[in-house]
Amino acid sequence: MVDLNALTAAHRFGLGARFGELDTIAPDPKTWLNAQLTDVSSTLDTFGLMSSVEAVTLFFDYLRTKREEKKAAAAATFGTQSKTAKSTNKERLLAFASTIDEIKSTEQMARQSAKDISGLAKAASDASKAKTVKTSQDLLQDMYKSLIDDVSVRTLHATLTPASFRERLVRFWSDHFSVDFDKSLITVPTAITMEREAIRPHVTGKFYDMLVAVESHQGMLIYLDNWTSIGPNSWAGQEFNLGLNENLARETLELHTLGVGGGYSQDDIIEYAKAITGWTMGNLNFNEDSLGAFVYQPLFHEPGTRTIMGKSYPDTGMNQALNALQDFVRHPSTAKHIARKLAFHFHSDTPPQSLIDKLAQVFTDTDGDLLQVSLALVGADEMWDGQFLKLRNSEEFLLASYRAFDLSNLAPDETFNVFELMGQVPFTAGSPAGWPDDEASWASSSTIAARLNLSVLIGNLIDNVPLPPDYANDLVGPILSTNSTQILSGAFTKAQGYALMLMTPEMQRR
Amino acid sequence: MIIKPPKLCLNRRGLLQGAASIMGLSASGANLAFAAGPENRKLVVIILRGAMDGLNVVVPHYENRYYAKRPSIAIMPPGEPGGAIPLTDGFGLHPALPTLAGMFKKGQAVFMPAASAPYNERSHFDGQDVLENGTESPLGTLDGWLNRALGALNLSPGAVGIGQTVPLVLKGASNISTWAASKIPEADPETVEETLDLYAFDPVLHNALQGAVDVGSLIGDLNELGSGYEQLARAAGKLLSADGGPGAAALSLNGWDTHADETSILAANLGNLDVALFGLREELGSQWANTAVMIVTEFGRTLSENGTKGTDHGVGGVSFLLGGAVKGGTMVGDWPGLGPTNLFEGRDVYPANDLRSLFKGVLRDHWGVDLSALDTSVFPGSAGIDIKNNLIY
Repeated sequence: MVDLNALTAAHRFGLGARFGELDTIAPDPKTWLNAQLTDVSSTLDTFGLMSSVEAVTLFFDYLRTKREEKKAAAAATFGTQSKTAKSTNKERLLAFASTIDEIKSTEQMARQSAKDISGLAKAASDASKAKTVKTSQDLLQDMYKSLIDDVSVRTLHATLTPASFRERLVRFWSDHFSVDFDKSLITVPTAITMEREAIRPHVTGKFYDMLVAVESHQGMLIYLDNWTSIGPNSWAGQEFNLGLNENLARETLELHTLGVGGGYSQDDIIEYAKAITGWTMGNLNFNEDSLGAFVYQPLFHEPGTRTIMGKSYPDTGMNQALNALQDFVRHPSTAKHIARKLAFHFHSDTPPQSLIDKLAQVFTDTDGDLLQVSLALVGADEMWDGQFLKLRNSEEFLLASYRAFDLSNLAPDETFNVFELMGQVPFTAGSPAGWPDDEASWASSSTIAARLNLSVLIGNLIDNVPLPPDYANDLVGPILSTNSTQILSGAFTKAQGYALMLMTPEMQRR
Repeated sequence: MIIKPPKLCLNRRGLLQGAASIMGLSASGANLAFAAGPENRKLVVIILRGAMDGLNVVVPHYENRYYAKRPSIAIMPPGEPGGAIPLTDGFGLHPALPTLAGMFKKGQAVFMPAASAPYNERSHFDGQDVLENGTESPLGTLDGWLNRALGALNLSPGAVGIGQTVPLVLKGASNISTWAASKIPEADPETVEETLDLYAFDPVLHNALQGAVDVGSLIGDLNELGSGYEQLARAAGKLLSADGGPGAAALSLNGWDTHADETSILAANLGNLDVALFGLREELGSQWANTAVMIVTEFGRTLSENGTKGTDHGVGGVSFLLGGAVKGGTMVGDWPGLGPTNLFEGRDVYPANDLRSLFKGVLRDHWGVDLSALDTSVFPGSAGIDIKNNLIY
C-alpha cells in the first residue's frame, strides 16, 4: 500500500517519482533515503567529460591560437619579428597582466543564447573533431560542446537515477556554491566542472572538505576572480600591482559560510581576501608546468599576520587561509546559515524553527559532517508532516516531468534549449547567491505559462502508457485531489491529459 | 535644487546640515494635485543590477581628482574625443546615452548623483534587497516597496514584472503579473482553461496563470520588440499603454558589475539602455506624457580604478528620473564632491542622497500616495528623511 511517506521520500526529498517507483519505496521510505547517503553506486557517468585541467587548458589553447592567428596576420603584412623570451619573473608578471586584459576582452563573447550555444557545439561535433590542427574558432566550439555535454549528462543522470535524494543534495550544494558559465568566455568550459569535482565527492562528506575543494577549484577561483588577485605587499604587488580582489573573500563569508549578518565586518573581508592571495592556477605565464591546475603561488601572497573576526592567523602560506576556513566552518553562524537553507529548501518557505535547530545542532556536534546532517534531515519528524507546499523551481519541475515519463532520449542541444525556455539554464543563476528558493520568485505568470507550454509539448510525446488519471495516481496517488482526478478524466485527448497532469498542483509542489 | 559643485563641496557634517536647510518646501505641502489617485499615471522602475558606475555615467568632469584617480577609464570632458555630453554645473553624460541626453535637454530627465539606498556594506545582494524592500536592512521586509505602494492606494492600478521571476520590489500582498518572452508555441485556450480549473484550490498558481493570460493578450507580436534590454523595455511600454494595462512596470537589466574592462562593457550596456529608453518612449506613445521612469542601481563604485581597468563595489551611485510627467532638465540632491575628506571611508562617493527621498517624492506627486503611508508602511521608519519636491507635473 502506497502511503504519504513514500510520496514524501520521492517528492520532498527526491526529484519526483518515476512510474512505479512509489511501490518500491513504500515498504520502508526512510531506509530507501538513507541507503542513498551511504551507497554511492548510482554515480554520474563522466565518460567523455572534461576535467577542469583539460577545460582550462582548452581555454588557454584558444587564447594562444588566437594570438598566433593575429601574429600570422600581422606577419603577412609587416614581416616576421624576432621573438622576445619572457624569462624573468618581472617580464612574466607584465605578460600575465596583458593575458588578463586579453581574457577580459573576451568577456562579452560568453553571453550566447541557447540556440547559438547549440549551434557552436553542433559545429564542434560535425567538423573539427577530425582536425589535427585546430583554429581558434574550432576551439571555441569545443568549449561550448563541453558545456552542453556536461549539462546533458547531469540532466540525464537526474532523470534516470534511482538515488534522486542524493542528486537533490548535489543540486542543493552546487547552488550553495553557485558559479556562472556565462560570466566570461573563460567560465564557459570551467564553471560546470566544479560540481563534478568539488561537490559530488563531498556531498556526504565533511563540509570543510567541500568548502576547501570549492574555494580552491578553478571554477570558483575564476568565477570570483581570485586567481588574479594580488597582495599589495607581495612580490608581484610591489613589482606591478594588479590589485587585490575581494570578491571570493566576500562571498565565502557572506554566502558560503557565516551568512549575512554572521558576525564579520568589511575589514574581516579584506583581511581574508589578503589571506587567500596566491590561491590561483597554472596559466600561460606562471606555473606553466601545472597549466590549468590549482597552485599556491607565493609570489602573489600578501605577507604578514591576518586578523579575522578578532583572531590572528600567522603567515603560514596557503595554510593561513585554510586555518581561517576551518574557523569559519566552526563558527555558530555557519551551522545556523546552512541549517536554515536546508530547511527552507527541503521543507517549505516557512520551515519550523525546531527543524532548523535540529539540523544546526547536528552540524555543530559533528563538525559539519554532511552525512550526519543529511541523516538528521531524513530523521526529522517535521519532514514527514504530509505537507507538500514547496513550489518546485523550474529545473525541479523539468526533472520531475522527465522522471515521470523517463524522457531520456532528448538530444543534448534540446536539453539545453528546454532549460532556456524554462528560464533556468543550469549554472546561470546570475549571482553567487544561486537561484531564488521561494514561492514568490517561481509563481510568476511567465514561469507558469512557460511550464504549461512545455507540458503541452511533452504531452504530445507520450504514447502507450496508462490513461492520465491512472498515471497521475501512480505518481502522486496519496495526495491526488478529486478536482484534479475529475479534470484529468475529462481531458479531450490523452496528450492534453498528460500535459494537465504535469500542471496539477500535486506535480508543481513537493 | 540645482547643484553648484564648486560651492557644495561640503564635509559630511556640513553636508547634512546643508541638506536640511536648503530644502525649501515642506514635505507635506507640495504637489498634491494628483492626490485623487493614479488614474492613467504610469510608473516604471528599472533596476540596473550589478551596481552601475555612476561616476562614468553622470560624469563630474570639473573634478581633477576624477581624472587623477581614473587614469585609464575616465570619460573625457565635453568637447574632447569620446567626451561626455554636457549637462549642467560641471557634469556631463556618458556619450553612449544620446536619447537620455535629449530627454534632459527637453526638460524630461533629472539626474540624482551621490544616490544610495540606506545601505553601505557593498554586497550586491544585500544592496539590491535594501533598494527593493524599502527598509534600512536587507531582511527588513520580505516584500517590496512598489507592491506596498500599490496596496496603499484606494484602487490599485496593477503592476507587471518583466522577466521570468518577480523582482523583490514588486513582491507582496498586492496582486501583480509578470511577462517574459515565450519561445515555444502557446498552449491552446481549452488547455489553459482546464489548467485554471486545476488551480481552483491553489490561488497562488491560479493567479499566476490568470496573469499570464491577461498579459499575453496585450503584448501582441513578439517579433516587433527587438532583443535584450530593448525587448524588455518595449514589452513594458506595450503593456502600460494598452487599454486596461497596468499602472506600473518593473524590470531588471543585468550586467553592470564592471570589475574589469569597464570602458567597453559600460559603453555597450549604456548603448543598449539608450536604445531601450527610446523603445519605451515609442511604445508608450501618447502615454509618455503621463509617465515617470525611475532608473536605479544598488550602489555606486569606487572612485579609483582598480588593477583590472574596472572599479569595485562602492556606495554613492547615480539614479535617473525621466518621462513626460517629469519636471526635468536639472540635477537634484546634494553633491558631496570627490575631495579626500568628502569620500565615504576614503574610497567611495558619499551617499548624500537617500534614494527613498526620490521614491517618496515620485510616489506622492505622481500617484498621490498618502504621506503617512509613505512614512510608515511603504518605507517604514522613513518619516525623518527629506522628500524631493517639484519633480513631477
